[in-house]
Amino acid sequence: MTDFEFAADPDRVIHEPARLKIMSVLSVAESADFVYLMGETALTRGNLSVQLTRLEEAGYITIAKEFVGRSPRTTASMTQAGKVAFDEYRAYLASLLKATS
Amino acid sequence: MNEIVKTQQRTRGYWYCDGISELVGGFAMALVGFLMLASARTGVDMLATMALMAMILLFPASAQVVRVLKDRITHTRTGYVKYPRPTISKGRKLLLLALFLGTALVMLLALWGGDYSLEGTVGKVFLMGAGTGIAVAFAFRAAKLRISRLYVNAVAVAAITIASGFSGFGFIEGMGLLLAVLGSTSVITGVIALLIYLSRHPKAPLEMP
Repeated sequence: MTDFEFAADPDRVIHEPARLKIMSVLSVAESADFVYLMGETALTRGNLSVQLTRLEEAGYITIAKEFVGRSPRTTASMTQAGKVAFDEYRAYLASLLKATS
Repeated sequence: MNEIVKTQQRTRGYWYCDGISELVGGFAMALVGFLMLASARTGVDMLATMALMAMILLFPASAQVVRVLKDRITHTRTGYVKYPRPTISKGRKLLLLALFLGTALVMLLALWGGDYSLEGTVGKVFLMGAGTGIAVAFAFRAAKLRISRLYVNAVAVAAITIASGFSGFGFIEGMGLLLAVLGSTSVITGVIALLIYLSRHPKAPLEMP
């Protein structure tokens, strides 16, 4: 990556810490539910919903709702576009570290 | 270690956070192992049949029991994570191939010498190979997921494998001992992990939106 590309902005959708944590979880799992993501991100329900919606609108994740017995379960999983965006973001971070070390 | 890697590692190791899979799987293994051991020591055929039946019935059933327990205990407290189906990497394929070829070579050499019985060299090679493979798998997983209690299982299996190599155990007796020790160790570590998990997460959070 050149210095010019390094100077480019990171993906703002993923760059936000809470959304980055959500993407980190979904990068190694096929899907994770709302309760798990709440525990990992330490966000409130409302805030987590907002962040998930933001990622869904960007096309990076899909959200599914199902019932397990009587309990509802909301799960999120990463799309192919999300995987590409996350890989590019990691590459951006790596280039940033390389350029500043 | 950065936060991305830590989050990914916690998620990868989440399956082991409650000890349920070790507890249930360990119980099934210990039962089969003790039955095999008893069958080899006493020579009662019924015990060998019971061990075989337990293996056929308990191993598939334990997966279902783990799923139900996790749904009731873990998923309601700290959430649900679904893992992608494991794929075998090129390096792991080569390792498996090397292990298979090595075992096949030793077995051929043993057969060449006229020792065809499971209670002889062939059985010992099987036993040593299985024990080494299981111990390495546990140690590898413990290191990768940073779950130190899995080292306990690795050490227990390695110790039994070495002891079996130096003793005059036959295949059934040695395998029974291996399963009994691995199962018992897993039950103990699983119970401890479950108690710690329940003390940290005594109540399920409120219904999600």
